Amino acid sequence: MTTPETTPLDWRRLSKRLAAFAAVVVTLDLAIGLGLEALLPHVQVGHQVGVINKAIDAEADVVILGSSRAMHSYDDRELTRVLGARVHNAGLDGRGVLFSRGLLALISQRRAPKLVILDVAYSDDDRSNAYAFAPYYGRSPIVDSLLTEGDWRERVKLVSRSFRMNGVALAILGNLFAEGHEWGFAPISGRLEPTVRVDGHPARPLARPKPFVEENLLALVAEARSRGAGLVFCESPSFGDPWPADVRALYQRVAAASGIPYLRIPDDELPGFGPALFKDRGHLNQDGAAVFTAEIGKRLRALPGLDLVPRGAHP
Amino acid sequence: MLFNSLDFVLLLGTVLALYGFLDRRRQNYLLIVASYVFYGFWNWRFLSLVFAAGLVDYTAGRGIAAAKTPRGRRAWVVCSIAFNLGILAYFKYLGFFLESAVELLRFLGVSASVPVLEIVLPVGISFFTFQSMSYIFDVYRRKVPAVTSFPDYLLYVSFFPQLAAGPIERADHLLVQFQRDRKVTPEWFYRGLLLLLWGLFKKVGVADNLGVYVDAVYNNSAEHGGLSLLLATYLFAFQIYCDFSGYSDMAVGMARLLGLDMMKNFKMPYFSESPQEFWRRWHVSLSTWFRDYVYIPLGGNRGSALHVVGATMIVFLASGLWHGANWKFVVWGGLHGVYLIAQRQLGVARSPASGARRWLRIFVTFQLVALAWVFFRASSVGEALTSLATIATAPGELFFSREMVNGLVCLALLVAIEGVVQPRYFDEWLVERRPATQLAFALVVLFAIVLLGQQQGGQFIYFQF
Repeated sequence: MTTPETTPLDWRRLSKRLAAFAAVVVTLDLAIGLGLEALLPHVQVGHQVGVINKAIDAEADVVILGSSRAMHSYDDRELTRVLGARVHNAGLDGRGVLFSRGLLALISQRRAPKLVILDVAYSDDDRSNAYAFAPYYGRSPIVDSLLTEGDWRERVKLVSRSFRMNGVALAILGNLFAEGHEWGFAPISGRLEPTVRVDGHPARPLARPKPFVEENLLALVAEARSRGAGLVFCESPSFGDPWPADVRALYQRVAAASGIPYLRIPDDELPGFGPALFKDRGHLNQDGAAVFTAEIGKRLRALPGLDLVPRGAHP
Repeated sequence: MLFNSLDFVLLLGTVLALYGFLDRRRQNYLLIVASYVFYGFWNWRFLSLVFAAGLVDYTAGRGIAAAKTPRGRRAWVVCSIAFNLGILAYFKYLGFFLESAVELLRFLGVSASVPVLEIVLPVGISFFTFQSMSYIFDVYRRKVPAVTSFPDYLLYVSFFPQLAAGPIERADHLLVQFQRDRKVTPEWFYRGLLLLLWGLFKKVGVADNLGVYVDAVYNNSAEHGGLSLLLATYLFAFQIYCDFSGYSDMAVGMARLLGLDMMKNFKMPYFSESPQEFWRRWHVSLSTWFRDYVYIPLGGNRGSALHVVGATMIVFLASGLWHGANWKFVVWGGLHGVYLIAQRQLGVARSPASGARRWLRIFVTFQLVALAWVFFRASSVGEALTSLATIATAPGELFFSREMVNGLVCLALLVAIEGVVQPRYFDEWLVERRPATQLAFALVVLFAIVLLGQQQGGQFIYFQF
């Protein structure tokens, strides 16, 4: 049953109605936002929040950061066994330095890793990818600066507790009771056609690094160092070399200037290198990841001056 | 500057804060300044174009009124049309016409080439030129008197809520409101706020979320199977509806905050029982423009069946071309023309149905409209045909994207609300409920925007037209 309004709306009544609406909005915004914030740490699966939470909770000695190429290439369980220290793969589809920087800041709040392996990204993520950290706004000055970039509009929007959960509210509720596992490595199946040639051209031209990538890369290096974490830049394999020269040059320049090891396994040194190890030109499949993990484990162990013994295990 | 940006909130807030303290003349000046700031945020260089459109048609209108002979009146109309179609032809169609001419010559075996033209398309050019032309036609037909105040006319051409994407208003509806004192009533203000909220929900809740999936599929259509393309087509139908009608709702809502009334551009078109009814409910301001200034002058429903078919096809092909300089839009318009002609010839859906029969008609009409959207959304006619072939023959795996979930939840909310309130409109229906019901509806919509809305959404689709 509805009751049509018979009294005409005057300014006084309208003001009261709008004031009541504003009061309810503020209250609900706080209630919903705080409620979701309370549920947030319990989410361990899912594309965005699940990956971030798992990386924070892992309290790993070695953290692997990067894009889907990192996520599908480094078997963190196997590397943990090989290196004798807890390794966690925190790679995520479509993410690059900007996301890695924010994630390292959040991880380090609980416990700084001893070593950060940054998988070199072909191009890099968009600034909008920083929105993945909106639910964590206020927890780290680095994350806050990535989110707002000093823009008053972003700061105004993020005043709303509910807005910080924009886009992830359903994921939080949906994944709340889902059981995940503690590792970040996500093996993929499928393989390239045996006839695909390594010197063939990539299907699509890859983007050159955006100007802000270098700024964030230098900042990531400085922030990792300030927390006492070692750094290694590492290129996971690709089938063929679709890299724009300036992407690799950028990482190599920063590595050389900062004394950071740059690891790249030449194709002929990766056992069984061929189409059978790749899902597509840019991503190793499960078999490829196993071969690569074994090889990169050896090279990491051979790096001079790296102390990967877990904290507390020293005599 | 987008309606869903904080910059715009600041602009609108400033205008509203000052508006009530000014008399009509100063209110108009304030709105002109706001409109130019709004447009200048995209490209300040094109402000001169908007100003020129206002100046030329104001002068032409005065010229028509002052002309002593029919020939003199016609000359002013020709000047106005030449100017408006001229800027449209240059900014929007020059590259397309040249490329099409080269293609035709190549087809005929003549080697030809044209330099690549990098002409920036001014936002909303099709809207403000058509609105301005409608004034000239109406003055010529003595339907409205020529306006004597240049600022009033300048505001009519550049009024910021509808400058970029309509509705294409007529002088006897909007311009006359700029010429008289207006009062912002609490009722009107309140309904304006409701429409603003509803439009914003359609844009960021439904359109922008669905757009992520649609773009992912259609931008790589060769990599997707028929099921994904079919789903993307249906979702695009809702994306474009919510994007465009959301903009229109916000425009109408803003006008109400200023004590002005604008036409409703969409009347829940997907509840149409026939293609003819669809065009009475979809982009109403454009379809009535073509009806009044093209179809009726061409003879309209009078004359032989062949004449009516010809007039209908001309209107729909022109309407397709109005949307963009690409053959895919012409095919889209042509398809709708064929639908209307077929409906007329077959004599179906002449009177409204009820029950299951009505829903069957709605379903069939939606399928026809969705089929035409394939051409609208694909990058070319060839890609559209390939996509249709894939839909028909190679279902493949259904692609899934995370953003879809938020969009589908918002879409379900939209369908539920429009299903309940139709045939009335959201604000009309809601103001008759109890205050608590109104509050609850507004809260649900607001928090759907805050929690589920796509914050990285792009500009409105129709801005490019």
